[in-house]
Amino acid sequence: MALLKVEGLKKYYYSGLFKKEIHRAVDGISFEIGRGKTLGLVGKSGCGKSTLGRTVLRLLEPTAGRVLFDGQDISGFKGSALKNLGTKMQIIFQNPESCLNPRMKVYDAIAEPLRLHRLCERDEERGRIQELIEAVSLSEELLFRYPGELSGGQLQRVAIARVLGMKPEFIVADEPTSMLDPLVQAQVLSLLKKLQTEYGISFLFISHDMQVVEWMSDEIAFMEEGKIVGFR
Amino acid sequence: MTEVIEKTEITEKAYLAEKRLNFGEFGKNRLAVSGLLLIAFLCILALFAPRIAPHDPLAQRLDSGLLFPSTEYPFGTDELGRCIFSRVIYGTRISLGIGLLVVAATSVAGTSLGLLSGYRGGLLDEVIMRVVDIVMAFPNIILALVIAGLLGPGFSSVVLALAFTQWPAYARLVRGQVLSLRKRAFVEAARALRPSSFYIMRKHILPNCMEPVIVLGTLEIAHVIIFASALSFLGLGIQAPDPEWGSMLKAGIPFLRTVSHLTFFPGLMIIFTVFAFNFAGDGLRDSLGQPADQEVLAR
Amino acid sequence: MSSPLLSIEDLNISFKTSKGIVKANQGISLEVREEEILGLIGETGCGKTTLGKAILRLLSGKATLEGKIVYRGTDLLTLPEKEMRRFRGKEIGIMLQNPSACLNPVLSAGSQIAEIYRYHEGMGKKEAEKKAGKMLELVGISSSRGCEYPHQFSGGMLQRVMVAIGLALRPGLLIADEPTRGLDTDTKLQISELIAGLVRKENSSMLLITHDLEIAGRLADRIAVMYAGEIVEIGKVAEILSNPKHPYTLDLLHSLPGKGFRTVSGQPPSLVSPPSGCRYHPRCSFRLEACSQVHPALMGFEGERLTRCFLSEKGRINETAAQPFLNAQSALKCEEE
Repeated sequence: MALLKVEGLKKYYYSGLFKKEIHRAVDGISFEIGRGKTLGLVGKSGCGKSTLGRTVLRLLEPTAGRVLFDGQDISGFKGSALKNLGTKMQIIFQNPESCLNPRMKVYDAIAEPLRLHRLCERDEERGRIQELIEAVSLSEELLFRYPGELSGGQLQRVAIARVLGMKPEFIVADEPTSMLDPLVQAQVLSLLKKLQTEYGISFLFISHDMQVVEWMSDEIAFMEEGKIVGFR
Repeated sequence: MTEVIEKTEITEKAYLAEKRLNFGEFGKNRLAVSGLLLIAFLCILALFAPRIAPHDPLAQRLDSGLLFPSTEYPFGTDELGRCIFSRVIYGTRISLGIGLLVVAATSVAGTSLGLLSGYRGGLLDEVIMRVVDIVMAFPNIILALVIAGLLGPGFSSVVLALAFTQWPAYARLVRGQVLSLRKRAFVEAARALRPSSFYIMRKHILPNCMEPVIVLGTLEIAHVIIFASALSFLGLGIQAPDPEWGSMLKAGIPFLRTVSHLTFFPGLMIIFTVFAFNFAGDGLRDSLGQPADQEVLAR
Repeated sequence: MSSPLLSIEDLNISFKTSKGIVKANQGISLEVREEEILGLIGETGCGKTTLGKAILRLLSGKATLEGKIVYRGTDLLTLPEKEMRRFRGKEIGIMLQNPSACLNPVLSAGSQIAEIYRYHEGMGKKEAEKKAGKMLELVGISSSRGCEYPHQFSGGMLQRVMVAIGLALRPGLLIADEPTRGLDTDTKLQISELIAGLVRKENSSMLLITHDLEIAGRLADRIAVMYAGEIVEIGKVAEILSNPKHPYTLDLLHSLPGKGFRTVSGQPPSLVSPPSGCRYHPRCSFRLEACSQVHPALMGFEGERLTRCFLSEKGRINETAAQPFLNAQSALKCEEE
């Protein structure tokens, strides 16, 4: 059974007085992602692919449609069930420079989800973070720096380590490498692939770069103006 | 957060390194530094007033009224024979006290309302912002006069009147910051962890909008001190015999032609204090948002 | 061989910062010839934008510049500021990164272009606006959109406006700093081809600063590769892409999506305290003993080719034929040889 099943998902924005204009950012999209698989999502900028990623995670409330995660409809989740979902479904963002709180040290940024969800005892925290930054091959000395002192590639690794701490089953990667230089892009992409095989994570990999998506994905969906126009 | 402090590995140096108020830039601004020194001086005056002042500021000696400055009375005496030097020094306590109290109260209240308004949005946002508009639509001093008039003169009514007129500035400022922060990826990333909205506001939004609030607060202290003096001058603030600069000015007016030191020294103190906070505040504002190594970041 | 339009001789640029002196550019020698597109390739933070800005003296007072930047016989570094202003835009145009930050949000796109004509050529308002409209047409925006404001344009359209501004005065040299950053693949190609087409049509030259090897490969005549503030390799596009001599260039090529995403470990070094010897040696897979001690000079190699690597002397290509991860093209070349 698929880990994630999306059925007829819609996200509309209404603008103008009296709901005159409807912008159909996501317009009835359905797909499935199996465990440990990657679905690549390709489309031009402004086609609604980022909105789709956020709606799947319920960071945006869908206008209509269902998202089944592990067989359960997450659209009705509230309170602790929703909070619990936070550890299982995660997201990595495009712009590494804004994806970490500039006022939080790298250590705290990685520790935040662990603390928030009480994923480990206080005395185990240090060791757990050590494991995490080793998993994304960052050096320990960066732990007590602020995000402003790190390069784009390093920041993206920290963002990955932070998400990885929750042992998520599904990650939306929203153009994680489009702002990175080619050498760094290659590093981050192969890191994601390595982690996928190690931890069995499923990805929804959003990008506008066909070659990157081809390299990352098991299946590719093409998106245009809120709709999926084809799979491959 | 306590766990942050518990971690011994965190060095203080690194914490200071990322303060976005750029203190290096601030240090280069001579006016700002002198303002800061003047503020420090005023704070010392206020804290150690009983030690520094040669006389009891309230003690009247009718036989030595309206004396010109001398070694015993450096700023002379008023019509009731009270030492003006001592009264001016004690006046620092009242003025700084009002300034700090009002700014502390308004910044906390305004910031919290701005946070709620910006982060929650919707009806709550509408209500808070309309109230802000209404309060801001009235000229501050008139509103303060009305409130102080209604509450009757005294320290607490000055504080309340000024606090009521000043909070909207913070609410607006913070709301604007929150609206732009809310779209940043790190706030979205935090939301993906599904904590309470209170947590996100406290951990992720509030720390990132504090600097402008600090700058505004510093500039507002100067405002508040002038307002408080004005209220006292108009007889709606601190009442005699308490040594407030504004009320001292008022008491000196009848003697302005003959013995000007009654009004000169309190007036001078008001000017100094206001300059000090304005310079420091301007310096802080200029140093804000200027990364130390802009060129390097832009590369 | 055409004569140089712009030649940079032994340029050093450093910034004083709280963390020490950042040597952003070290010993840069480059030339851009008449009617040539030179691609300047490098990663974020390698100093390529600094170089672009230095040519027009757009760096802040914190920067120290040494060396020579000669444009058609004039040393730009010794020019008084007043005359320098005449060079900007008219002789050398620049397109800075991030158009949304460069354009004034409260002025319409058309009027921002018209402003250039009014300032530099003293044209009247009407005439300048007409010319601005023509310029917009040239970059593929209908002149009726000239009255729209920057926020009404998409990223690709804004970049077109930037092209129009950069080329408004038909400069002899256009410096284009990351003109395709943040655009999606199709738009990227359109924009880059538009710029190159216009530059070629005007018989101008261009210094194309980018991190995108594919774009540079498509447009440029020659490529200069920059790493940690130094030029590590210069040569004709075809030679560099098919037969890179510097290991860094080779790694860059391999990291492209189409070429297998081979990864290189490590981070680019800090420009405050760069590694001793060759700057790339900590990450280099062909490292020799000497590499960590002696700093290699930019050495001539087969005509116009310059490389900053010891291996190029010994003919690395033969030596590395045994390396398992050599790309197909250079492997083929080896067999032919």
